[in-house]
Amino acid sequence: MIGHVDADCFYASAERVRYPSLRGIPVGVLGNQGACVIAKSYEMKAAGVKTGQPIWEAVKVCPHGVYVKRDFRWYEVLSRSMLDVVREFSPTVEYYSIDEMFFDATGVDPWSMQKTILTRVGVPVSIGVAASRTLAKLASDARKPFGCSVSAVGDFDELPVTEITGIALRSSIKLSAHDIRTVGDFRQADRQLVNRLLTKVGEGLWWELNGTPITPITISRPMHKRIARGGSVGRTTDDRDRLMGWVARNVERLVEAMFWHRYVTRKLSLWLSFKTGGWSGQTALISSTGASEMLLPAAKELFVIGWRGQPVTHMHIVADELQVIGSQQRSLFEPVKPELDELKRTVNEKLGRFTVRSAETLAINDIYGDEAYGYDICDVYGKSCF
Amino acid sequence: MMGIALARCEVPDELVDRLSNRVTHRGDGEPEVQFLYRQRPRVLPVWHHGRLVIMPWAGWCPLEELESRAWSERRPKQADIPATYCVDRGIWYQVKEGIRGVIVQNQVYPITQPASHYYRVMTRSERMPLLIGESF
Repeated sequence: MIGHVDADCFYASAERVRYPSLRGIPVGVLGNQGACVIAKSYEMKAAGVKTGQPIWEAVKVCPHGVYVKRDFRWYEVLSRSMLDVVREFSPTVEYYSIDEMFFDATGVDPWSMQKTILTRVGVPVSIGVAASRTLAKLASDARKPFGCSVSAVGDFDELPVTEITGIALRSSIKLSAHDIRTVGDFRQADRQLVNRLLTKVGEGLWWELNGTPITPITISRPMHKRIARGGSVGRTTDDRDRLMGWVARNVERLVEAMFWHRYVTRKLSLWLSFKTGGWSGQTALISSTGASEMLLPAAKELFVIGWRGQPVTHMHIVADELQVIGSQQRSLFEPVKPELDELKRTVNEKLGRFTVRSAETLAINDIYGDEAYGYDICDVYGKSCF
Repeated sequence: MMGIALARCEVPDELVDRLSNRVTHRGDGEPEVQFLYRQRPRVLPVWHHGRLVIMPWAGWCPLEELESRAWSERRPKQADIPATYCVDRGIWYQVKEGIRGVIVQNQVYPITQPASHYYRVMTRSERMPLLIGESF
């Protein structure tokens, strides 16, 4: 049997752990711009606020709601405490996302696990136990909040097919053309038809919904296809120095992530989003590298090619064709040693992240002074999903 | 910043007796005491000589004016205004401890500063309070 732990409105619950005055009231967690509600309590959901909704719309439907600034460092502390508890109960645990874990439920008392997480971490969770991951996740979702159940094949047959993780709108349109609208329709459909419509991935879901586990619990994260760092550039800007500051910042964060995962890359891409439209370009590197001495000049070169003075809203830097350090193909050229990165790492490990950083980031000093930008969801390592 | 709310449990009982018309509930949460600029009398809670007292809220003190010593003749004294939540243009947001302020002639003025990008987006306000132990 497989178990799935899913924290109930995790970010809001995490804020309530350190600020008990937030209990029982509508709470909205804002993104790093302060513009959108990225998570909400059940009270705010009941008032009609949607995730992703701008705050000025949310406040109209929920005027008494209280808004808080996101803090991924704190959420990670609680997430890892939850993980510790789950590991006490089960030897095989997958850290799926910051608020979700799968575990081998053989011999595990899920009600006891749920109670222990609440008393020790302070976060309410829902737990589903079933024969496969897909069923376990449906079980935990269906019993929220603070539900706990052991479910069987067929227990979720009445739910819409879009409740299945992995079946989004486009897949549901294909399925509805064959009168497959519910979990039960999907489970009882012809397996080969499902394969034709949704490929092998869809067929895997079919097996899982019929009680045959296809996707195992993965204790260590599978290798990435690519790693990206970036996002919004704060307020939209056409200031060249600020944008170069963002290039340097995103490269430094990418280098951090690649070092943590022990990756090097052969290909670097830059994605820019403008107020209307966007641009992307990529460059091949002369040898596999994880060194900012090579990656920053390459990213800056891409920026010079792609930016024509337009106001930029978002920027991403992507490392493709990743290889694990030591397994990469040898180059004809002498590889660049990441001496500068090693120096930065040594200092920053002792004195704090970004204590030493590229001088080009001075143009965005305000971003470094803002705690909300200090730590992002992607800085929480070890998760098998997002 | 057009008002604050302070958790009821943070306010001494003898003060709550005088402020009972300001005690309110937000959903199923703990009761809180609200101090809004539009309420009469216009007052704020202030830590003064180690005690929580209620003082008239006379207006705001821009940080720039305080730093340029424009308020020196008024002999402002630093004061902390405890708060659980603040409200600005209808947006209630959570604060860790409260707001810095100054006391002049037994009246309190919360200190304000130019709004950060985040605060401006969140509240659409050009000024923000000087918060204790945190930045927005």
